[in-house]
Amino acid sequence: MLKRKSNWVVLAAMLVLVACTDQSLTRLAKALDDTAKGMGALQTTVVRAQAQGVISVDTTNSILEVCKKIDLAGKQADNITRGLAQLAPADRGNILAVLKPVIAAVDDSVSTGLTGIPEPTKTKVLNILQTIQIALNTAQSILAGGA
Amino acid sequence: MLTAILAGIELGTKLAPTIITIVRSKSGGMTVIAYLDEADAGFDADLKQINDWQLAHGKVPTP
Repeated sequence: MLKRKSNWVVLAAMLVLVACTDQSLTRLAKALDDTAKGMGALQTTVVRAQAQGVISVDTTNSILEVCKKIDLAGKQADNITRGLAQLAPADRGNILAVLKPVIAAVDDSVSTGLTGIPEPTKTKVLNILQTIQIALNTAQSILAGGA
Repeated sequence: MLTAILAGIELGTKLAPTIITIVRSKSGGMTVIAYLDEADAGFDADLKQINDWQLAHGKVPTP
């Protein structure tokens, strides 16, 4: 009887552990999805602004080059996460190492205020960038074990 | 006691794939893989948009 009770206690503990881990993975995957959607919105806004003559080809190109780095890092983080059943410390470190440079790039873009883009496009781009920043910060928080 | 713990771990290990599937299906919406698939397709579309724009404007796409 005692043995059976112990079995269920251990099983329940494992269930809770699996459920919590799974929630972290789900939230991380959603954060990556939100980032991809945000990047799509950002790029489309910039490309349209260039087509309307609001920003130059060179400014657009430099913004898109930064976007490309974020998209590639997002894909890489996606591929690492895809193979996981749980977020082990080493996995968290690997994904964080991929995401940290792009988080810094987004933070930098937000803080410098995108000097090459005139209003009202600038505000629109900044708002989208802040949405991306929130998604990436969520991912970072999950990977740091804080969420 | 140790035997009981080991038996519990063995049972949990056997049931883990089922448990993960159940938890994922009950997690209120999309699964991890569904989110990752959508994100991957999104990033691919974003990269294609950049590539297409750069080619159309005489900018050499970086690898």
